[in-house]
Amino acid sequence: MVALVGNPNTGKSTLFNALTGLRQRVGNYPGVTVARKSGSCDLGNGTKVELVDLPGLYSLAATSPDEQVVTDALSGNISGERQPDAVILVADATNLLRNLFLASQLAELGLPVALVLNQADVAKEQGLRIDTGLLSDRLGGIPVVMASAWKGEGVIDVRRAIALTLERKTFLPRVVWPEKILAALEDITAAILKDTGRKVTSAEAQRLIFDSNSALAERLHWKAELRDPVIRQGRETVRQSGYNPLAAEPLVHYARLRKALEGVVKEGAARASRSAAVDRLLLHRFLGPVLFAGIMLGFFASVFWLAKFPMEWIQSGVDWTKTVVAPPLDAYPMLQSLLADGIIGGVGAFLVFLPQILILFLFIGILEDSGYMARAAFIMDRLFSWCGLNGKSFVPLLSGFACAIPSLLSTRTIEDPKARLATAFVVPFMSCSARFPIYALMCAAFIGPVYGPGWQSVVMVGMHCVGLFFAVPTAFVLTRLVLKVKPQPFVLELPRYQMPKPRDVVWRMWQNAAEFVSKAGTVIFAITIIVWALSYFPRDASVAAHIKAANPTAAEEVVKAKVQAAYVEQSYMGSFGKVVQPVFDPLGFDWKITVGVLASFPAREVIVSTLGVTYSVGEGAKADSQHLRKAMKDAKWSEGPRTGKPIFSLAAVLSLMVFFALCSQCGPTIATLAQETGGWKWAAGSFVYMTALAWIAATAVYQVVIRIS
Amino acid sequence: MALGLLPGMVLKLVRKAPLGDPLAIEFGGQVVSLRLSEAESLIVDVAADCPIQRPQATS
Repeated sequence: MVALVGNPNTGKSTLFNALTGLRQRVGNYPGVTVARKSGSCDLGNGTKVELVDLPGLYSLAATSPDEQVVTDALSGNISGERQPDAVILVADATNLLRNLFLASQLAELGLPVALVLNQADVAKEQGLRIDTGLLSDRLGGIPVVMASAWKGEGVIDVRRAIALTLERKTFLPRVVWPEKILAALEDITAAILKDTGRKVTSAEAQRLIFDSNSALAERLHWKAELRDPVIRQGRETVRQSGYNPLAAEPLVHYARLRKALEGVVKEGAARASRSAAVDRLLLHRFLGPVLFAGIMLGFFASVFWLAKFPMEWIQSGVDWTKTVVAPPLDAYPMLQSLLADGIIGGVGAFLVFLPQILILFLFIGILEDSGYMARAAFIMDRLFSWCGLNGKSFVPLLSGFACAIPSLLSTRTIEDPKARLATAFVVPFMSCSARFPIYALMCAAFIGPVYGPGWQSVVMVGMHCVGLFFAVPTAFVLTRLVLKVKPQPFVLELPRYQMPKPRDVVWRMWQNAAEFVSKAGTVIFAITIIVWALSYFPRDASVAAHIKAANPTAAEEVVKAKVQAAYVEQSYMGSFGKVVQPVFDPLGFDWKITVGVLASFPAREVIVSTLGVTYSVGEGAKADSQHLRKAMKDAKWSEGPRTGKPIFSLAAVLSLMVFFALCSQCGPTIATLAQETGGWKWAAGSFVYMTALAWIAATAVYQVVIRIS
Repeated sequence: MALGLLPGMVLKLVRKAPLGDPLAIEFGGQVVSLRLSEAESLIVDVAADCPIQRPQATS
């Protein structure tokens, strides 16, 4: 097995795709949400080797989970993973010094290394000439090759270099540590052996002494009271050599690299940097934010508009399938309902979101690969930093307005664990597109006709802001009071602009979508079946006969809808709704709305069709259904102090919308949140917090509005 | 420091973000964004060839 390692923005993944030709497998490292991408790489000499693409990083001093995985994978500390036989370091040819820092650290791990100087075309454009032979000599004779993965140039040389490294086992020479530092490292190694019985490598000892807070200490089960004095003493020894212990590592490595690079890079006539010119426009004091708003608005609008048509096709495809599958099963009503409403409905319920998710990932990919994502974070950082988030929180939060699940996956780009967790926690507050149908139904039925289209728009926009209004203070409280972790510095490279490579972007979109389908798809499907069963059973056939007898002259459609409503009323879901209704009484919900609310906990978009059933207009009701609107307008309280008054008063309508804006009603989101935060603690916290908040806010709205109007 | 920001290096403030924070700083052939709070920990001398020679002028 060979590992591909490199700084971010070096074109490493493009090279990986070129080397493996998309014959890849994507999995997960155990216990963390870091993707493990591996593929089979042809070495050009008839042999093949497994190539693993490790996440990009600048230094082995791990701060994010991604970086931790790289360090662990390279040291062979991941269970079920072999230590790689060789490491291919992908470096940006235009910035050798910084890129080689990682190579210099890798040498400490004692693995055979080859060096790929990628983006050779850009280096040439900048007038840089690199003497690879000389560089190879200076680095202990390891293979050094130039490549341009984007253009597909030099890929064959990379294959040969991998073969050569495996064959000859060429090592990059280790750093010569000043005597005192060496002594400190040896002391630490000895102390660990004494306290824990484990023999750590010099590279591991370096992490313990050089990193202010290494995760390694925890995993060695080295007790803090034994550990802290040893490390303090070690750092004191380092200080005696004249180095600040937390700066010694880069200083020593960079000093040797400077020497190694002397005369290797010759600078010629450089063309003016195009990136700087583009930045003058895109990061302009006044134009920058305007263009940023334009790009993001375009990004967001196109997610909706482009997804609209495939979503309609999928919806009509699902409806059509039902009409084909259902009639032959008329004799078996339970099987018919299970297949049409349960299975086909369940598959349809999540397939319908797939177009949005694909387009979202496509745009995120383009923004990332072009280099604009880092600029977006740069522009937005100030707006987010005060509440403990950072500029990288912006895109997940924006995507949250389409769907929380891809947004949660995209929080992985945030290095600071605290900001990442807080961002993931508030993403479900964003008004996702599944909330739209209930807003649309309520506004079109009760706001527009009474108060005019102006107010209808105001309420519509307002509902999209309710979540945001609560998300910001939530993030603030979470990062300031709950997560008492030291904030991480927000240092961000603004990479060169680059044309995204279509193959890479589409491939990543495909991988992300596949992950969504396998993870969320199964959850949504399972939940739909459960909800179906709860609202189907128990079913007493005499109910149907009774209703038919009571309405001998009514049209068949009307009777059918009434029968369905009666069935739901006597189902487990209906009984439960009636029992629970008092809880929702302060919000102004009757038992029918309560059933709708309960049924939509797993997936909030089912509220409209559930209301369709409970209000006897038949299943398959859409937000624009005139029958449903009329049935809801005619609904009156039949008991209690409000008898005779309409159920859907302005207060109840607003309360219902606010409830849906804030409530945690999405099974897949909860599941994804659990997965991304590494446990059910935060997922459960999110569910309780959002649901309680929704209840309180909706109650407040109902009680205030009912008194005013 | 992993990015190669080492003592004795020449820094160039390329621009500020629209809201004044963070800063885009160029060194060693790369542009890096740094928050004001983090940049505070850097000790910087104004270079002799800097067009603006007031300490508070940063562009």
